[in-house]
Amino acid sequence: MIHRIGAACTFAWCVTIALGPSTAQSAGSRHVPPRTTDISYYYDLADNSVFRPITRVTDPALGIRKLMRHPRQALNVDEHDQVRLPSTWWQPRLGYRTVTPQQIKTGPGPGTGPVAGRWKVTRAKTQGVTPGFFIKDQAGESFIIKFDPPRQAEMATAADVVASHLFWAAGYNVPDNSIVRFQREDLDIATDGTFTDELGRKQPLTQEVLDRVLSRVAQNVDGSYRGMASRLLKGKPLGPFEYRGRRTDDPEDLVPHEHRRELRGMWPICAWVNHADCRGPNSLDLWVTAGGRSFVRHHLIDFGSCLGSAAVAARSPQTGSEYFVDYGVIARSLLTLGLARSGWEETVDPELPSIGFIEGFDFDPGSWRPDYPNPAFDERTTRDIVWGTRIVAAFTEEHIRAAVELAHYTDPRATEYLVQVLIQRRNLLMSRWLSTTPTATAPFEP
Amino acid sequence: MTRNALLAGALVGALLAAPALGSMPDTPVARGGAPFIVALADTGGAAATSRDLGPTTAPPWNPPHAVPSAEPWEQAARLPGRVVSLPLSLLGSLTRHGLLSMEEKHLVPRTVVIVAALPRLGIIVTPASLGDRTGLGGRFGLTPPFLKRALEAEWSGSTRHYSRTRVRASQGALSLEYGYDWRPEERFYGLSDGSSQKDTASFATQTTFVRLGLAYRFAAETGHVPLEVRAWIGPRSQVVRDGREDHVTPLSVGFPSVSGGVRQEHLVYGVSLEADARRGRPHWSRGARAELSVEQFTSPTRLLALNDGSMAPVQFTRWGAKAEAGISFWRDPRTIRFAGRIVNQVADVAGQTLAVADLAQLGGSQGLAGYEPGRFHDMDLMVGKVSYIFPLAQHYEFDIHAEAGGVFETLRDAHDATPKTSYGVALRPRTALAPLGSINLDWSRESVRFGFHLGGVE
Repeated sequence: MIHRIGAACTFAWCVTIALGPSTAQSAGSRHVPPRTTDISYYYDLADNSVFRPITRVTDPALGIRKLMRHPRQALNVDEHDQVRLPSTWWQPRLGYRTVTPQQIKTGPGPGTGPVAGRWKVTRAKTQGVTPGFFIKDQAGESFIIKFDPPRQAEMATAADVVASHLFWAAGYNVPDNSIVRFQREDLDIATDGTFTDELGRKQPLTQEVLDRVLSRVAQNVDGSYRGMASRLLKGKPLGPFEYRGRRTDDPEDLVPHEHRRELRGMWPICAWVNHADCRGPNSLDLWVTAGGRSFVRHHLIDFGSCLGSAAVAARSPQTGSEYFVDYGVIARSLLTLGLARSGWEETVDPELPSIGFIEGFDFDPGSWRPDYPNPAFDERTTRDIVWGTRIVAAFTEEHIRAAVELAHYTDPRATEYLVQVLIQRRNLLMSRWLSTTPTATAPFEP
Repeated sequence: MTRNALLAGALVGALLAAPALGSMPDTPVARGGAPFIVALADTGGAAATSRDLGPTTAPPWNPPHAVPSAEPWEQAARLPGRVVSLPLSLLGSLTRHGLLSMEEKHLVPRTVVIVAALPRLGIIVTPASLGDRTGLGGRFGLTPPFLKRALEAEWSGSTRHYSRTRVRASQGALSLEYGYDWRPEERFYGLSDGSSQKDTASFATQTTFVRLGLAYRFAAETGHVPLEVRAWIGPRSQVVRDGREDHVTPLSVGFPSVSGGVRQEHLVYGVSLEADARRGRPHWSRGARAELSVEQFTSPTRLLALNDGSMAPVQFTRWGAKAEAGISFWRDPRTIRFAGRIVNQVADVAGQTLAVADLAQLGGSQGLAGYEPGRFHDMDLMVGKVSYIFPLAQHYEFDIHAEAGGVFETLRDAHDATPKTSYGVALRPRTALAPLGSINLDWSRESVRFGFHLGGVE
């Protein structure tokens, strides 16, 4: 008897685990922030590159859906195939409302960067390949200052600013990023300033440490430094969001993220700006109090690996064509002994260090891929792609130019090149995905 | 603003915008030249206010209840797989939490910092490269920074008790080196490539040497093909004993004619000339390398002998020639390489056989990788290899190769011999700059061998 009860309990437990939290009900409305979460960079890479692709290949449900040509559509769309509003993930902007180039320049606002004058450095980051520090300006606003790799001056900072403003115009919540120039003399050290040393220990921040950080950064001819100032977002940080599942302790998060239109439909926008680094760790949920209530708002952050930048170096020409571990490409290469030539091998490097590597001529709008699979992108359907492509299509040359001008490239060729590349890529996306769409608002079949 | 009002506003805005479409300043045209319909929902009216464009503070739309990630039939279809893979899920969860904890404690940057700091302190810790069938090994080196690399010392050891010690002092082109090698589990199958695997014997070698070297590199800065001349002289002491493998016939039993237990003292001197014009990334993909060498093993004067030899050594001359060349095509290089190696050893007294450790050998990484290491021994050898390396993906490349060759009493016998052949493939993880290692699978008529290398692939 005991064995039978044990077996029944084991089975029940197995079923509970197997069904997972997906059937769990919402935690109910409350005014306490959800718990803070974090994503392991390494696990995210391994899970999405190795484990999840294997799971998807062996998933009978997915197989049946593919066989029946009946993908699961986004769950938070209305009868016009538009995102049900309001949304704490996305706000209708370009494509839905008139946004002027000047408004793109302002972005999430105010777009002015730190107030000029003396800045207090409160924290510095010396470990890793990208040095940086946190400052407080004279108005008491806090910013994180990031820099370019020495051999690719202007590249990563430009990418961060341009892409964040484009994503803002596309409707997403992003930080207020801008290019700043400052002199070493503009920096004071806060009395309680700290830095994290190479071994991950917090230490008091000193002038020597600050000098060490700046010694790893390209200096302009006039002795000034160029950086990207990102205004710290207001609210209590809750950690990144995942591109699948839900925050089960957030009563306003009832739709699995991989089935949200805003996330699935972000694929063409990422493809457009080559945001191959679009992954969970580059997001941030904040517990915000505004409009008489407290809630979770979802943000995209860290755009330093967009456009032609890989943050610490130029993007490789393979970016966007292959995942880091791309089984399809591997299989094709094995079967053809490497004689099937990849499209990226035809691309031409612009040889503009401030741009890195991005091009528009050989961009394939049908099969662009991030660095590694993104769960929401994997679930995308034609409807999702068309939704995002319409937003991309709403960017005029003036909008694009307005965003690119925020990069303040020293070389005017870089500005012109990036504008033209973004126009080319936008056009290719439109020709691939909007050619058969009769109107913007009519519902249609996948 | 209520949800419905917002929704209605968005819809009305979108509908109003429809007539304004198609007025884009740069009408897109598909690459092939075919026009397409553009449908936008942007409004042509007055700019939205910053309040309209700001993020909403209204409660978001949500379904009445949480929506499951999968529909009930999908969950049912997945249930067997989920139950079967529960242990894997548990392992995944543990890995996830372990990695997160590791990242929160900065373990990776800490390790990187420590590993990066070691060479600055003159300490080198790497995997050992002691050869095939030597087990897992490590290498520990010391290069005192204050001596500016004028003195280097290293020790390598492995789980199969192989060890190597080197101490090297150098100044400019001159160097003085001391070396000691202990190889306890080497294999011998008999002379000639007609030897049989059934006749396996085990032997051990203990080698000590001191070598004065001179190396000079021409045209390193002038853009010509770098040419390096090396010359060396010094005493060597070598003892061949029965191997330390319990279950393998000792050399003295299996092959008494080449039996060990005898120390041979040699004075070794030689010269080599090497030209290396290989280039390309991530693997060398173009150019060629060639090396010619001659080495004389003679009887040492009593003054130079490291020990008292118990018998007069077999004196001989070793000629060696190596060459490899590669051509490649396309941007991510597909490379075809050709390589060849010849060793010709001539005893001063005709008919004398060299000590087993001095014989030319093939098998394993010495050539014919599909055969066991040391599978073929004789006075001379000739082996050739052709490889084709092609990219698999951004961070992987694949190597397909074939080898043919043999060992001979004299190279003249190669004319009539049927070459042994070996085939293999290797998966090589890579960065944009270099291969990081390789996982190899080689096979021949006799065996299939699996191996891996960490670094040092090229």
